[in-house]
Amino acid sequence: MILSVKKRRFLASGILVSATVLLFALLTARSVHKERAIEREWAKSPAGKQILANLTNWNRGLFIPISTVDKMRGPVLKRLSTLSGFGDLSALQQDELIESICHLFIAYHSSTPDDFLQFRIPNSARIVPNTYQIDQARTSLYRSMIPTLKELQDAATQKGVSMTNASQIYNLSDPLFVLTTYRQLLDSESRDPRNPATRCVTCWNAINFDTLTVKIAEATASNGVISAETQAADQPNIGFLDASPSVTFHPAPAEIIARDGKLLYATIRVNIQIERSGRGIPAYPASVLWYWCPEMNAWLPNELVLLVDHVNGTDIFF
Amino acid sequence: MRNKAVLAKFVRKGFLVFVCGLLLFTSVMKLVNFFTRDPTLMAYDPVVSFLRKGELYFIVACLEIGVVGYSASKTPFRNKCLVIFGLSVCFAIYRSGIYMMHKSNCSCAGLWAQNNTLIQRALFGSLCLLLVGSAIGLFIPGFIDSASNGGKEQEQIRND
Repeated sequence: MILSVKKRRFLASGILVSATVLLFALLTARSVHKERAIEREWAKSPAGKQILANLTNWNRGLFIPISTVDKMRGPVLKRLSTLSGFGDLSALQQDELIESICHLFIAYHSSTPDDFLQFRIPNSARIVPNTYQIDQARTSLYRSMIPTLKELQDAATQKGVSMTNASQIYNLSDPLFVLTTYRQLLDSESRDPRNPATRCVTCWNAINFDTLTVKIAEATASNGVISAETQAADQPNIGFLDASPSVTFHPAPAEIIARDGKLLYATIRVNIQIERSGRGIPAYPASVLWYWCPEMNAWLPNELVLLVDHVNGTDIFF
Repeated sequence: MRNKAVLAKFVRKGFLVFVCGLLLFTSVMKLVNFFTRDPTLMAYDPVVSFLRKGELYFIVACLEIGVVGYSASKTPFRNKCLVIFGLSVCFAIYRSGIYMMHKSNCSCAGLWAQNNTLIQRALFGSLCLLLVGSAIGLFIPGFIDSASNGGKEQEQIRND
């Protein structure tokens, strides 16, 4: 059978295209194979084994989904009442600590500004003027990233969310509005399941109450302020993410120590499960440090430390 | 019969216009990134690991422009479909490779589209259209113009 020139040309083009496709497929398969081999090697290496062992260990046990403050209060109280050190606190300090821990869980589970504020700036600090200060440089930066009122309303309409009083609360000169709106935007962006490029490390899903520990420590003028990272350093970890605070309080820890000669700290550590994970195992420990402010009768959050190193730093908001 | 012939011609032309438009758009986006010398393009590509992302952008953009030129030429429709099919299969393989490596989204239309969900979906849909359209034109050429006597190129091939 003799083929015409056009058919021969078509056949030659077909062979050329097929060869190119085949070559590219082989190249891709090689790259995928190489990448997986690297992953396997990493998992076999001492460092990889240690990290995977830590992650697996943290993921063990019963994780209870985060729901509401009322539902979280019971398990938190049950767990804390078994721990030494917690009993040394006064009844008011105990109640306030339980509330603060519940609000912490809700704040990093929910995207709403109210839930975040409940944890970050307790009511007693909000009603007294000049008790808290929001980082000015950061507020200016966040302000430039917040969409206009119309853009926010359009986005809410698309999602079917009502924003009836949006025009009353939209106020870019209010640092609290800027802070909470930016945090909400960041949260919803990093929670978007269609966008795998971002990983939300502070989108908490569930808590293992059996791992909840609390350490009460008193700082004095001689031993100085306490850091959550220093406290967590001797525990199993795969690095640290220590979020710099966007809100600071007055009086600050050093001011209370200088004034009263002592300051009470409470540090909790708990294993939490997140919505997304970098290595397929969605649990890691989180540590939060509060200090007791006698005039506000409140635990003020001072530090948030995640005992992981490999995640996108911009996701951490404290 | 006459209407069907006109429709077949319209479908073929429409498909080619879509292909040219899409490939031109993605190639221009890649070239823009290449010439702005974005620092992220200095990293090696995860799939074609011996090339930097920028170099790959340039090569693929040239390839796409070449395919656009070929699609706009007077070569038979089936030959054009062959080339488009080859290119879209390569794109599909590249996407599968990225997916299997658990890497981020495809930057097929430049870096700006990498984290844009809407563009990602549109590009994925367009790739499916390219694959299906070119496969139909290549493997079942009679599908579009079976009823038409106006498919001159197909007629020519058959006569040859």
